[in-house]
This record gives sequence, C-alpha cells and structure tokens, in this order.
Amino acid sequence: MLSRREFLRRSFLYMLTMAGGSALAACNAPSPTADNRPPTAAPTLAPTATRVPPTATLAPTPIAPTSAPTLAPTATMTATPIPPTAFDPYIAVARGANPGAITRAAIDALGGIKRFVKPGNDVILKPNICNAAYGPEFATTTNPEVLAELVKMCLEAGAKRVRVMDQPFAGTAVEAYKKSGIREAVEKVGGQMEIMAAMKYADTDFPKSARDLKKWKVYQDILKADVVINVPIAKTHDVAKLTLAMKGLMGVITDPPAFHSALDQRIADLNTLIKPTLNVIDAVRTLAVKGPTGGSLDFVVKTNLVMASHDPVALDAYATKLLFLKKPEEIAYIKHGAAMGIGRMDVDKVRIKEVTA
Amino acid sequence: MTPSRWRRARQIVQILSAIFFFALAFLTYRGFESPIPLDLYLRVDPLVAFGAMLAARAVIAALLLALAAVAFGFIFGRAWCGWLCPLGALLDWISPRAWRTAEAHKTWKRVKYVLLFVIFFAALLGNLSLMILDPITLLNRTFSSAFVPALNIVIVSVETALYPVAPPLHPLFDLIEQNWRGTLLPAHQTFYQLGWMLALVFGGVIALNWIAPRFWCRYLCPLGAVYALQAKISWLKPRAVKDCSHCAACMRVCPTNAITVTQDGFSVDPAECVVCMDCLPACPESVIAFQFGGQRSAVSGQPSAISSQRSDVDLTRRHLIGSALASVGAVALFRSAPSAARDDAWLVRPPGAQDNNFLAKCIRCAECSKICPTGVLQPSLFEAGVEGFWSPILYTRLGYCDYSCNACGQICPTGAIPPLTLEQKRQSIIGTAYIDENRCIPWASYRPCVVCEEMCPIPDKAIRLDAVDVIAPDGKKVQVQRPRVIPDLCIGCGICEYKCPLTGPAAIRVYTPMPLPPLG
Repeated sequence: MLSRREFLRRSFLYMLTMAGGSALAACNAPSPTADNRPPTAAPTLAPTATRVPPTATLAPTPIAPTSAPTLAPTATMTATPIPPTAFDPYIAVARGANPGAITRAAIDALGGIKRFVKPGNDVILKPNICNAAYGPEFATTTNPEVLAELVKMCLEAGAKRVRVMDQPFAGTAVEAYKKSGIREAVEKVGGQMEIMAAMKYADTDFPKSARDLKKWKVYQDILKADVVINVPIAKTHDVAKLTLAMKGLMGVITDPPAFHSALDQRIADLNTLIKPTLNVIDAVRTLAVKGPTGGSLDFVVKTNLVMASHDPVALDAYATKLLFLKKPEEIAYIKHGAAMGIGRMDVDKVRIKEVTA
Repeated sequence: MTPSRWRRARQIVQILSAIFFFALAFLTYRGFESPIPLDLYLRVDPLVAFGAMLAARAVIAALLLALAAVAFGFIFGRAWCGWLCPLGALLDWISPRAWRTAEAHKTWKRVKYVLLFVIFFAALLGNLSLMILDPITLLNRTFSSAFVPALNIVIVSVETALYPVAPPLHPLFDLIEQNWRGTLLPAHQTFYQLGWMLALVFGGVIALNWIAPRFWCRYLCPLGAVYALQAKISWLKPRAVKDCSHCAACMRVCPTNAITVTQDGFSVDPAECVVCMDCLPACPESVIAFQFGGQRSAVSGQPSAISSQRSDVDLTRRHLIGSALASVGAVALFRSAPSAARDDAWLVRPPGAQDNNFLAKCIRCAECSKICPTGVLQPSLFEAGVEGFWSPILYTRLGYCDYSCNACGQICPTGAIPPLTLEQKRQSIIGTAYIDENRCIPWASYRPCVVCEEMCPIPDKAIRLDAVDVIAPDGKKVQVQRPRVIPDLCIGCGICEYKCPLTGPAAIRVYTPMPLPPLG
C-alpha cells in the first residue's frame, strides 16, 4: 500500500511530467501560423494596377483650396459612435514645420480633443510601428512627436490613461518601440507603451456587415477601450497601394499575412468591427516608394502635414488625393469601405478645414 | 569552521552558483548590457576554451579566463564539480535518496577520460563535434532550445486561460508581459525542431543518477575529466589527520564513491572527489580534513593508513592511442560524408559564419539560440552532417534573421559567429531566396498576395513584383502581381519564407547562398 504522502508525491510527479511533456510537445508544433486560419474568401481576382510611380511629384504639394463649405447633407454615418451632424468640418488638415503643433491644430480644427475624449476615458493610440529597423526620419513608423502631442491632449481632456501600442511585423516590440523613438516620446508626456500580449487576442465574431471575415483573433483591449485613436503614417504598399488609416488596423489582429489573398475586402471588414473614435494621419514625412519597409532617406518626402477625421474612409480618400495624387476609387479598400457604409469617399462633398500652425 | 559548516558552505555556494548560471542564461537577451559577461560559465570552461582554440588554431581572447580555471583546478582539484558546476548541482538535487553507494563497474570511470582524449585529438584535427558533451553547453542548449520555449507555452497558456476570469491577476500578467516579454522571455513563442530531443538527452543525464549518484560526473563528463587529471596533483586534498576506527561512515555518504575504507586504512581517489565535504560531518571522530600542500598528517606511525591515495583508473598508452585512432577515424568519416562534399541545400548559417571556419569554432553552446529574438537560430539535426550535429542553423520557416538585429555575433563566445556591426550584418549574405512558382499564390492560384515583397527589408527590395495579365481557370483575363527575387540583392534573412501565408513549406525558401561574380 502506498502511504497517502507517497501517493500525493507520485501524483504530483506524474502531473509534472505530463505538463512538461505537453509543453514540450506544444513547442514542437510545426507552424506558428497554421492555427485559426479562417477559410479564404471566394477568389477575388480583382485586377490590381501597377506600383506607385516614384514620386518626385510628391514634393510639398500645395493643398488645393476646397470648394465653399458644403455642409455634408448625405452624412449618414450610422457606424460612428458620435452623431454625424456634429461633424463640421468633416476633415481637418494642418500644415507646418512643427509636428506637435500641427497635430494640435488639426484636432482643434475638428472642434478640439474634448469632442472625442471624455474625462475618465481609457484611451488607446494605435500608431504604425511596423519594424525595429529605423528611426522616425525614415518614415516607416509614426512620428513620435505627433503621438506625444496626442497623448498630451488626451490627458488634458481628462483621460484616465493613454496607452500606445502596435504589433511590429518584424523585430520585437521592445526594440521597435525604442528604435522608433516612440517609447521615449510617449512616456515623457505621461503615456504608457503596451507590448501587445498573446493572452489578449481572442476569437471575435465580425458584424454581419463584414463581407468576407466571419471570425478572427483580435486584440480585446482595442474593442474594450473607450476611445481608440488610429494614428497611421502615410506610406505606399504594393497590394493595397497605400497604407493609411483603414489598413493600419491590421496591427491589432493575429496572423496578418493570411489576410492578403483578399486583402482589400478584409481591410474594409476589419473596419466594421473596429471603429476608431478618431483617425489622425501622420504625413509629416511620407514614405513615397518602397513601402511599407523603406530603408533609405531617398524614399522619404517631407510633407509637413497632419490630417484628422472621425471617418477613416473619408480620411484615407482625402490623403490618397492629396498626398499620392490618385483617385480614391483606385484604392480598392477605400471603395469597399464606402460601398459598405463604413464611411464616405466623396470627399469633394464634405467640408475640409485647412489650417497652418 | 566546523565540519558541518563546511558542508553547509558548499551547499550555499552550489545553490548560488546554479542561480547565477540560470540568471545569466535568462538575462541573455538582445540589448542587455551586462557588467558580467553573460557567457561567463563558458568562458571559465577549460574544455571549451582549449578545445575551441586548438580546433580553430587561434588564441581566442575572450576564452583566456579559462586559465584561471586551470589554476583553480591545480589548487582545488575537482571542487568545480562539487561547488560551482550548475549541472553538478542539478544532479545533486535531483537524485534518489537511498542509493548513495551504488556504483557502475569501476572501469567505467575511464570513459570520461577516453571522451576527453577523443575530444582533444578531434580538436587537433579541427573538429568540435563532441563539444556537445560539455556540461555547460549541454545545460545551456537544453535551457535555450527546450526549457525556455516550453516555459513560455506554460506561461502564455495560464495567462490566456485566466485573463478573462481573474482580473486580480492582471497586474501580475502585466508585469510579465510588459517587463519580461522580449527580454527574459521570448518576444513571441519560439518553436524548436529539436526541443524534445534536447530535453530527452538532458532527462537521460539526470536519469543516470538512478544507476549511480552523479553518474554523469563520475563516468562521462569530459570537463570532469579535465579537472580529475588536475586533481591527481592538486594542492588541496582530503586526508585522514589521525587514526580512524574504520567505521566507513564517510564511505557511505560519499556521492562519488571516492573513499575506500578497509582494514588497512582510509584512502581517497582525488580524481573522483568533488570536494563536497559531505564526509566531514559524517565522520564521528573528525578524522578527515581537507588540507593544502604536501604536509603529512599529524599522526605518525601508520602512513599507509593515513592519507593514502589510490586510483582505480589506470590509463594506459593503449587508451591514448585508441582515442587518437577513434578521433582520426571518426573525423575521416565525417569528412568523407556527403555534407563535406556539398553543402546541404538548407544549410543556412548565422550571419558571417558561412566562411568563418565555423565548425572548428562553434562549441554548440546555443548562446545564439537564446539571444535570437525570432527563434530562427536552432540546433541543427543533420543539415551540416553528423559533424555539425546541434550546431546552429537558421530554420527560416520558424523565424527570420531580423534586419535590425546583430545579437548572435555579439554573444558568440568563440567568435564562430563574427561580431559584425549592424551595418555589416545587413550586408552579410546568409542565404538566397528562391520562389516555388508551382505553389506561390499569384503564380499558381491567380490571387493577390505580396507578403514576401512587403516584408523584404532590403531598401531596394530584393523581391519585386511583375504585373502580368493572365487567363485564370475560369477563362477571365486577370492581372496578377508575381513576385520575383533579385538574387544579387537578397541576403537570405528569410522573413519572406517565415511570413509566406501558405500552409506547410513556404512558396519562397531560403537556400544556402550561391556567390556569383558581378554581372557584366
């Protein structure tokens, strides 16, 4: 007969062995990307056009004077959390040499940060921190000064806490946060950098309005936060053509590479689930070619702009016209987004406020 | 100090040393500036130092600390094994209680010397294959390529299970994820091809304790053999300082069976004694003492009964010649294996290692695996032939060489992976990617996918896209963007292969580099 003590000891050892064994077995999993891949969409064989031409033309573009203030009558933004009538102007764009100042000016032109952030709110800023290779002058990651100014403004509006996070696709978050200069800038003004943790990704059902995605693993804090501010940097990209606000949300899901066979539709679908309260495009520097990774200062154009809107579709459409001199309907995810009612791409019909700072 | 205090001191030092070893191992991550070399235990390992220097035919400055270890050996004998060796500590702790006197056949003690000689002769021939038997490399490899990834699975599983239901634990999880992730713990889950094998070998070394305590140290460990040879003439030796009653209490507690007590007296084999001092408090008459120098004991009259040394192991010229012949034979076989004629297609070495006489410098310690932030550096199976077993290669489907990282060359204790600057590493060609057009999505399935091109970190993009009009299976004309590698620009970092969304093998794979002269 085993004594009770011996029985317990042995049971514990067996359990330990089992746990160790399964842990080791799990480590030997053949592919880190194989799990949870939803069935791919029906083949979308949409033709895709050639790459963005190297843009010497991108040199500081004068902002075309917009038509007389047209109070958007067609604004039926059922998707946004704030009533649509409140949005005049619909898009704000600020121009100037100081990234922090133009960020503040752009938000102020929309009516101030208090329209978006209420006292006690839990705020997440989602920049683009795509890898750990370069500092901000290479225009692959969002400008730290823009982010720092946004953190400051959110805290001034009474936010309970302001977190900044992105999932780099190359290199570690620790290194990327450091190299991009974002950790230092954000923490100096009282924001928190969060390393996106595996435990916070969970299978999430997409709304019915999503056409392709039904379920994917999404970072839960992004869905739970009171306010999400999407702060992409304007860059080129070879399938989506441009990476702006709508595409930036790919940083909060697992396994982005698996997205690409139906990328444009899925970017639009992602925007049915995640609805940032505010979108701010950092175009202080613009990566004009060889995006999204860049790597040479020759690819970077100093554009000295920050633009903001509650509507990611409209903002992307506007940036497409202004920065890349393209028609919004050439960018498939913008077209999908407009067709699905996520936002509007007829940006010549909304009021755009331009300021300098 | 009293006898039991000596034993207690040894136990405390042993615990501290093991903690220190694992602390350094955990702290081996990119960007950590340590005042103490993170590979300290490898640097003070004489087997590693002289093996690597012999094989590489070079003085490796970082390893000269091992001279201190040699001096230590001549003074204290095998005290390293009993006081400092982290593997020895684990073997002491994970050990059956009752079988202290168990022993394998005496002649087995020779095995460790034979292994040492084989390592020595092989090193003379430029081969370090058996460096996998060094206890520090063994422990390090198991730690970085089996224990850490398994530990991470446990941590993330517990967090994922408890995160939604246990808010009080969130501060703890935040501490782990915000402060340890990417530093002490891998930035992402890493997946090692041979994790289970490393764990089995380590488990085997522990399990041998059930045949005899410290079986590994007594019969197999080649580093133990180095110290054992020194111990035969070391300064510190255990002696009987007065007459004893031959009660043999010391013999029963000795974990390495180094003590023999017969009617004729007490004798110790210094080559087996690990200076654990367990015998001191066991002796009811306080007869045994560890003394420096050649002084005779205080007791006269019975020199044969006191402080006599014995050695069960007679190493003959035959062993030496046998070891030399075995080394020559094995190395000759390695060099006549296919891996010596042609590199395996998947033999992708760490940056700068390819043309660096790599196998004659690499001690298989897996420091590079631990520090690699993506887990691409792994102990190999047979990609480098049997000779290169467990030397590091890149499994580019399980990770990639990050464009912003040069950590492996900084940590490598022997310079097998040269300490390149980041700029040099970005130029260093570790492999070349080729596209499998039969499987690539735009090539074979007419759907959009540019992940490889998007991920390519080369500023000029070593992967480019050709827009081509093709007729899809449904008869419609579609335009696809087909990726194409520019081999002249590719450095073989493998992020394209790692990120390729296909299941199973990627449609773009990194092969051994093929250097070509410039075009034109």
